[in-house]
Amino acid sequence: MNYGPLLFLGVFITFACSWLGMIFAPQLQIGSQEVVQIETTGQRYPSAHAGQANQGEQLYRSLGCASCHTQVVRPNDVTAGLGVRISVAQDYLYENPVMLGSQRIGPDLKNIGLRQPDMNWQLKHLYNPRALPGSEKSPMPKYPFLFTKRPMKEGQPPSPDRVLVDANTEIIATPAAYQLVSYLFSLHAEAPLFEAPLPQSPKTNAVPDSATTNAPATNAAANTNSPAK
Amino acid sequence: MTSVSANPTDASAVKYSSADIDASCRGPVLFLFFSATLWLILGSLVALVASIKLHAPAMLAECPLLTYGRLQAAQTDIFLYGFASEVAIGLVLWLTCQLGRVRLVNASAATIGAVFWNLALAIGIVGILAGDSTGFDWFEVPRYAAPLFVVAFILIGIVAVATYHARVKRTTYVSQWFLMAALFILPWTLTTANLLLLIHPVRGVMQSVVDYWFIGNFLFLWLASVAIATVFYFIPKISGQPLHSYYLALFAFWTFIFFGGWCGIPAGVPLPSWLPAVSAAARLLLLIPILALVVNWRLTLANNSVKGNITLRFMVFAMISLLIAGLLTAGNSLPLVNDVTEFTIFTGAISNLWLYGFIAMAFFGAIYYIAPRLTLMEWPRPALANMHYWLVAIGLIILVVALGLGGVKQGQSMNAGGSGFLVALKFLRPSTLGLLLIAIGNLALLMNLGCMLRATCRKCCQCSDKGGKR
Ligand code: HEC
Repeated sequence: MNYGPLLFLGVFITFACSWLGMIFAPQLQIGSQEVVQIETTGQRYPSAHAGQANQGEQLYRSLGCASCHTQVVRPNDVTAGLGVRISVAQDYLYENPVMLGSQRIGPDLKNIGLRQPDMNWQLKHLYNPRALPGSEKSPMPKYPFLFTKRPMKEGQPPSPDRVLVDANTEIIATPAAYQLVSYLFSLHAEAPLFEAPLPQSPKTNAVPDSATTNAPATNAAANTNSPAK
Repeated sequence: MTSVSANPTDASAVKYSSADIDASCRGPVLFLFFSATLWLILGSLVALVASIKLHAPAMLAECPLLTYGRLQAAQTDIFLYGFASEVAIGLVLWLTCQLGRVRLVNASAATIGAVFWNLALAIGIVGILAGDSTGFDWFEVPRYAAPLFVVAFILIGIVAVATYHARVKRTTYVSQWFLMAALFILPWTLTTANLLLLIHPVRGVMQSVVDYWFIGNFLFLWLASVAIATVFYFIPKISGQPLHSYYLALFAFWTFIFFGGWCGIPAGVPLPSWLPAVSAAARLLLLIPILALVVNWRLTLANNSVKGNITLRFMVFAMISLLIAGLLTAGNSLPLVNDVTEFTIFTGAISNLWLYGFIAMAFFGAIYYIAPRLTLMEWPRPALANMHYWLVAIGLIILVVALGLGGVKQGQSMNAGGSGFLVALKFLRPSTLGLLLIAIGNLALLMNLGCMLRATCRKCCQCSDKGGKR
């Protein structure tokens, strides 16, 4: 192995294999996926983010929410109530950047839009997670800089964006806070896909009409808010 | 293929003396080591603050620059690009010179490259804290820092390859293969990631594929390869024993380089299932070269009679960490284990074993050997070196055990339908202690190195001033 060119050639071929296998081949397979039509509902899936949600996605990226939250539902997570079905490549077509995350300090957020669709809850949670019942020990950061404070004055009408009142001060959501929550609301993957059908078909499901949205929502909300056993 | 000298000390081709060679790389290598140490301290502090914030999230909460997510990203990149990559570059330069028995081809170009690298990273870290992170793990540095990195890398790469090319000792040693492979693969990986993630982003979850591939290559084929080259150099060198087996090393090299490029994709991700399966198989197979490396090093050390050498102690720690890291990485790719550990803090245990246990420990050992030779001076405070070793070793063990056990418990809790974060938090507390010990240990390195450089400068100034001013 004293010949530089031989070493170079060997490394080149070895690494080219890895590039072809791990970049080129997957790009051929999933790189040009398109929006599909859902058989049962006729809707097109996934739908593009609304403008607000797009800006919210950039906040999610910039604030590093993905360092504690994943956006992937695996078979185990369906059992645990984090989603109605597993996540597949199709679900991420409009995410940019795609932030799957690698570690769950907090719960998975792939279906947070289904689980916690209450705007006020979300805003309060961002302002101070620990103030919410069930999250008293939450390690999640506060994001007070997404809100402004205004002292309450006699006769002044409440701000329409008031989130809560804290010691005679109004906490008011900024547009950034709304954008972030819009993004969170855009996170829901309940459409049945060919490669990821809903696990329970309506026939075998005991409570058919809650199969898609309500059932997992209540389950999971209870799960995250109660201390782990 | 002709034989290779099995011992890096073999100086059959003497044109330049070791001192001569050291003198030629003094500037860039010392600069890189020192700035890397500064980044290391900064990174340790940022990691510590981030970790404390998990227990006290209200702390510094008003300041968006210091929010947990940004600190975490900054901390990762400071370690990867500031500390680890800078020491790696310094080692590439120094080892290429020593093993080729040749002077560094153009030291000032290398120094300029190193300065650019530091500038690029500083811009990148400020960018991350200001909110411009790319959102891709291990690749958070914003796009506008990339051109400077490119300039830096081109300068350094050319110097290193030209030096390798000009080597006096034509027969090559295994360390050189790893170094040249790393030097070739790093730009390819970085270019692919830049093109496909930032400049012309691929669609959807393909982005994650590119990022995972990047992470695997950066870890195994860049940092770990340089660390392997380092251990291959120092174990025979310090113990005075010839390398146990040339063919085992050759085998380990090709298998490591081959499997290393396929390891990146984790198990549960939403991709066509062949992709995670291939990566899991590659991570299992990676155990083969790792065992070959460890066996080779262990047998080389079998007759070793050198005791108490600080570099050798770091190298042995690195060797053991590599073995454990390899076993855990392989074990963790089994579905049985992965079903529990994936997405838990267990991930942190494995990455810390690789990054700190193996790579950083090997690099520390090398710094303790090389810096005195470049400054022509003993370490001013040998006790601090000893302290560094113990603090980092103990801190790391605490960190890895806490994250490892905690990850398993957290995973069990999550699979039982709980959120698992309270369980994880319980174990994250001792891990903060581990980080604290590591940070103090690293401070000992900085003090030692700082004193050494100051004394060198003073000596130097006195010479040029003819002993005039201090
Ligand atoms: C330090 C880690 C951490 C960071 C960073 C973090 N979170 Fe959290 N998050 C948690 C934890 C732990 C919980 C569960 C406890 C709670 O509800 O606060 C949680 C809960 C949540 C929930 C409620 C989930 C549910 O199922 O009820 C939402 C929504 C959320 N986080 C959004 C965000 C957003 C948006 C960001 C970024 C701006 C973010 N998180 C950053 C740790 C984190």
